[in-house]
Amino acid sequence: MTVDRAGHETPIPFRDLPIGYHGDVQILKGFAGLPRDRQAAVCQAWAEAVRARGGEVAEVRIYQTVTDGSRRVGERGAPPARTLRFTCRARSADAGG
Amino acid sequence: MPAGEATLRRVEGWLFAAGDPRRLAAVRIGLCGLLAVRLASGPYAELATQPPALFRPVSFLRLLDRMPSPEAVAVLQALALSAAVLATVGLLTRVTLPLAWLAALPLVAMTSSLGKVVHNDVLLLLCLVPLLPSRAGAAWSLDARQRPVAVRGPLFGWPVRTAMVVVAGAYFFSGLAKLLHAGPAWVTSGNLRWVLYAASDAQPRPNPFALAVADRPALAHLVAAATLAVELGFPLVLWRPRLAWLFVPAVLVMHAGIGLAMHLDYRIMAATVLVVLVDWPALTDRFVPVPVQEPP
Repeated sequence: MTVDRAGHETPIPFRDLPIGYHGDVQILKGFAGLPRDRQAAVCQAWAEAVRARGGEVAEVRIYQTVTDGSRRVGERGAPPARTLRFTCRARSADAGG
Repeated sequence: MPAGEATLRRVEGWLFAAGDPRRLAAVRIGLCGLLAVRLASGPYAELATQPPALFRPVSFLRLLDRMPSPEAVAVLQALALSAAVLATVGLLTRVTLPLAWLAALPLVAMTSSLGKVVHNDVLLLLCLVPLLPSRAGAAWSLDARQRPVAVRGPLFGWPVRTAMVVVAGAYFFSGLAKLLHAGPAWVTSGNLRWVLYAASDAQPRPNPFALAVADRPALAHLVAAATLAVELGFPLVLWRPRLAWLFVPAVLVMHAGIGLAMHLDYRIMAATVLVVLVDWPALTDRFVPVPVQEPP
């Protein structure tokens, strides 16, 4: 999620970004094991891509989500349970949640 | 003779039996044509602009710390594409085919540098390997116009049969991996339903094809069982070539289904199966009979 200065969260539209950004799932799987500077660099890359599309990014938040695929709401899955794991602000990634 | 040795000899006899140079040529034309299409349409230039922090190579590109530069990619792409087109038409085939393959390798590896292997191109590249040292340009090529007509022989059989083994192995080991990873539960549990629900949920709009199967447990079990049967049974086409009439359409339907339900593009892989498993000269002879010269 990107967060603007007013605190509004917006999902990062990875599928609409250039193909070089489509490895988000794989990056997130190993994000916790990255050194802090590399975590910050990943957040920075995502934030810049969103800014390049006109979005405002004050920070990037990374949530861990747990989805129960069997719980359906109409044609969609029920919203996942989520826990804040990381917050990236100006060249830093802090554990959160 | 021990049974193991006898089996080995039979396998060798099958693999190195004489083959039609036109069948090898058809495989060359098909696979190099597919490679040219892939090289012309692949997202390599876009991948070259990826921020280094997002670079997640899974193969030999680990030697680099970021994607190759856009300039290097442009040169490689032009070289690989030109060589693939020349290999398709069969000009200087012994040089252009290996050159196309070698130049394509780092480009295809770029698509697998987002953290996971992109299987779509892997089968194509693997099937091209036995053609690299072969006389794939001996028929249906520009090279062949300057040489005596190639006749059926042992040099032309093994590359095609090796490619067939590669295709059969790709499906068999996909099926085996499912069994080793999940066991019979891959079919008997709700596994496929949850996969299809997740695929539909990840798309901007609910996917009617995915939901049509996922909403019907019996149908989901049937599709899972059929998938496993087709994958594990695919090597039977090596033993009984006529079974290709069953298994080739089956994997084409499977890939089409995956494309419709999960939006995963396996067109190049499906086309590779078609190129390698169909006996194109036999089809050509059936529909365009070769005129027989009457004796004087």
